[in-house]
Amino acid sequence: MSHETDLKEMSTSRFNQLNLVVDVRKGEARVASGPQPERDFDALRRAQEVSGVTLLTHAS
Amino acid sequence: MKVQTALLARYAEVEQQGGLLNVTGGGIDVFGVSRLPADFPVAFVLQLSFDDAEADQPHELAVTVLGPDLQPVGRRTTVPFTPTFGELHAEGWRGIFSVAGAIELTIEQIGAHSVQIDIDGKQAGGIPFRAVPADE
Repeated sequence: MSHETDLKEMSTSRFNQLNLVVDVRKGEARVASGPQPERDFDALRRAQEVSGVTLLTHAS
Repeated sequence: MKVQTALLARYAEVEQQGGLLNVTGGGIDVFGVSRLPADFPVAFVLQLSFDDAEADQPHELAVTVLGPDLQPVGRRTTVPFTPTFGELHAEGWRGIFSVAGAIELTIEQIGAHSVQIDIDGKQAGGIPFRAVPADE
């Protein structure tokens, strides 16, 4: 099943929730399911570090 | 349709059964970056509340990241969705449609940014954040 088909089926199903990966660089969104990096806490952190993001915090 | 909650987080997902949100480190609004541009994923949470007239109707969620000059960084990204009331819905309550996951961000400049949330073509909310130089 393609990501586009997956997204359409999920967004029109009788669920009231979506787990998504939104890529604003490409202008694309897809359903996040299964053991994908974006559903892995450590993988998210590693991807941020590789990109030079060394701080995530709250300002106020 | 209203944006009830909008957060960036260390991690976020919606449980497929029951729709509960699992959020870790919610409320991020400062990113320290050591080089530009910085392309990276960050977790997010949206809770959209809807009323009777909006249930069982198709809607469009759009996400746009705005940079310090208020110009889009990257592209406007749209997602179709159809909210519906659950079995335990009480009459008079607004429904909640939850969205969680990751946004692949691009930061090109130091300064204030925003994740703009549009519903059905109208601005409905946003998540402001700042990019600051990181200490090496």
